[in-house]
Amino acid sequence: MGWLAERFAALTARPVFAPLRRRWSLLPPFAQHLFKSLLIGSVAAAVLSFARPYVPGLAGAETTATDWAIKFWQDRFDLSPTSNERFVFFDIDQRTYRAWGEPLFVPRDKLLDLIRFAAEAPAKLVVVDVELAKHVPLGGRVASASPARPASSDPVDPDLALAAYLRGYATASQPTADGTPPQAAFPHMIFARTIGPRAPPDAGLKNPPDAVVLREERPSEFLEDVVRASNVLHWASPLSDRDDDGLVRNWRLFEPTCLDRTPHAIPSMALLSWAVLRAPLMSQGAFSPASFGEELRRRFAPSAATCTPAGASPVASKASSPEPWVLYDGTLRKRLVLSSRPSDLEQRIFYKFQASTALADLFSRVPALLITERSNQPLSPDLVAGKTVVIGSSYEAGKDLHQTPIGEMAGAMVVINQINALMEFGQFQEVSRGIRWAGLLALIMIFSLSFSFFTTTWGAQVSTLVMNAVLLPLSLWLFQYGWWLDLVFPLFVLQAYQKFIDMDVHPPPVIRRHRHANEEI
Amino acid sequence: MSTLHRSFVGIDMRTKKYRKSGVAALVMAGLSMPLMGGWLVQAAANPAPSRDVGYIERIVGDLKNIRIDRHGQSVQPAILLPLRVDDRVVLKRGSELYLQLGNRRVVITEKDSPYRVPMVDAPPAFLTRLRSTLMSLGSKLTSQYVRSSVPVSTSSRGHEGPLSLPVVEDDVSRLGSHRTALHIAWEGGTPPFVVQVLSAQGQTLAAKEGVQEWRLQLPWPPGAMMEGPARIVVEDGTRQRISKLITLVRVQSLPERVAQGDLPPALHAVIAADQLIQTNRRQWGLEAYQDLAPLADSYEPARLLRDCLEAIPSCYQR
Repeated sequence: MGWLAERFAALTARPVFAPLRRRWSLLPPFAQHLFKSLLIGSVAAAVLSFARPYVPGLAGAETTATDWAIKFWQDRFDLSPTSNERFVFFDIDQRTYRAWGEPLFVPRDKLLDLIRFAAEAPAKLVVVDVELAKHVPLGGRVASASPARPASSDPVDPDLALAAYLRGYATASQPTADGTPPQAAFPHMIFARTIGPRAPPDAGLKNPPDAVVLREERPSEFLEDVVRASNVLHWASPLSDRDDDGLVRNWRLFEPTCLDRTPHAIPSMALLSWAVLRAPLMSQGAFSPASFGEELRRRFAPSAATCTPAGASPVASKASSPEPWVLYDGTLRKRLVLSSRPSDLEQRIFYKFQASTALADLFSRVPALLITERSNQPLSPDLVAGKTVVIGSSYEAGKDLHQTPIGEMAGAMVVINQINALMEFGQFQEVSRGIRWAGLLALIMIFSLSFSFFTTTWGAQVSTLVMNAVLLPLSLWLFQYGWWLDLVFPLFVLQAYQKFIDMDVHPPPVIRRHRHANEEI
Repeated sequence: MSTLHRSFVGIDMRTKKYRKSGVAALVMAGLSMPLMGGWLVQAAANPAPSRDVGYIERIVGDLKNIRIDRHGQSVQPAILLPLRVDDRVVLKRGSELYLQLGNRRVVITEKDSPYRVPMVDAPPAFLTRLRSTLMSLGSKLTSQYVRSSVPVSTSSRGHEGPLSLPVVEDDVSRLGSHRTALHIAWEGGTPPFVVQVLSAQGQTLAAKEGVQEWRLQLPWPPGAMMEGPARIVVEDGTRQRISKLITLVRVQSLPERVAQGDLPPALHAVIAADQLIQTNRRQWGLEAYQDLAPLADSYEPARLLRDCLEAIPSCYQR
């Protein structure tokens, strides 16, 4: 700093700056000090802004701050009734798991009962967060059919019964030959696709460091044809990102994959749910899930060579990132950006519902056994009608429990939170650059004032107090609307400012005494 | 700049102080105004009125014996029927209704009838959240970390210490007189042990000699134990002796434990024992120990809790 100050002094000592020096010396000492402070603060902010990705601890502190804000707003009411989404979670909980005889796979006959009940209610949307890739072997115990629904008309194999039901459902949802729409409502159903890392053609091949690993979709052994032929049944990706500290913070809105050795891209369950419910504007014409999927594939599917067994390694080079796809949510009046390299903030899940949420009007958790194991008592569909139903599990052996910023929750709860976040806020957005810099300059002004009035210690205390009293509540308040006003960066600027500024005053008074240069000490 | 000059420079220090604080207050107020406006708007709009507050989870008894009125109209009871605030539930004898209201489970019986469905707790608004966050932050900043320590031995050891009865608090522990056996554990001493339960008058109520273990189930005939003081005495092979006074109380005097209807019996017993300990460990630790000891060999949670009570100091003390 001393070297820099000397260089600066040498620069300003040149004759060309003489008028400026004269004007500067006419300024009162406080004003001189204030200008210096402002200049130093602005330089500190600019340097930090450019060096942002390299500042140690900044990214971690920002993540912690957003975690904290998410936790602060858990279990909150919706501010906009138009974006309200109501959820029912059919929970295969520990009690249900025990009542079903602790099966290795979720029994398909029980799952069929749950799906049928949700579809006939009718729900607004049904999301099945249970993997359905494999046939459940019949050698073991075949789960008994629900006493409330005799299975006389269904085939014996529960997998086939489920496939038959869904085939019939898909057929019935089609308009009739004369174009009349079906009489009953047929909610869209989204099923979790089994997705795994693609096996490398050469085990010894090392991935280049700037590569993303491609994943492969596993076709279902009994539902593939049924879902492919339908307009109301869809596959979607259940993948989310878990950070290295074990917390699931980010969604993955789509997944570039290979399917049957062909390039493919699959939307996440949350993205597809949002698309089905909001029907975003598309440049290719009216929205339909099929056209949405097709466009997603066109934009984000990997190259054909990466999916062939003898082709390149199962990685996609980051150098060939496709352009982001910008969709528009007419209800929220916000953009939704699909990008293969989303920003950290665009990926954050704004969790709302914790496992024991009290928001009874917006979220109900229903143990699945209430539907599958009831006796002859009547079952009311009113709780489910018109809501988004998510079927998932929380029993311990299911290994579908995840740590999140607001605590541990079942995978289906994560999905519910993702759908809700997209429907209620869309992606998080940072306050515009102009507002951020204007706010930062205002803060620097406050820092400068306080550092000009007081000594370093008191100036720092006052600045921190102002930041905490104004910026923190403002940031938290904006957060509920899906806007993030970064409060960590200004704190870092304040720290850098403290380091840069010259406050060498002896003895240190509580209130700074400003002197003219020609004043005697 | 001239305004700043006039405000800040060339004025007596005392006057300047006032001006400074005034300007600072103005700056703060100016910055806070939009925020306060936003809060007021939000406070007016929040919380939104809730519609459904829960649903019926289980129906016990005949449906004809249950009536639900909503705005003067009867609603057919059914599993998963959504419930709304002020729904009136009337139950006849033998009927029970299990309701999930918000995140609470409520069981209604005939004695609660007619039952009005209450509002569920509304989530706090912004200011409440902010206040509680600041309070919690403040309490963290102002609370001092108090270092507590207990002596530990770093040598390999068995039951070599002096004789002690960690599960019994002298003249504090209470035990239900309905019990037909006493589960007791002690530490240290040298086997064989003699364990006795004496009445207040010194009369032997139950006893066992030649005990080689450090735990014992000492049975006694039903009705042998009367309410009042009793003494537990353990004597080891070297004539070391420990004696503690307990009070036998009627079963009605035991703290009430919340029923956990649909849980397995073992888990229910562990939860009940834990509730007793939480009520007052020193007073009811021995009673809780009676529930845990028979389960400990076959049920891990019971074993953990029993070991906790037997440890010196117990996990609850720690």
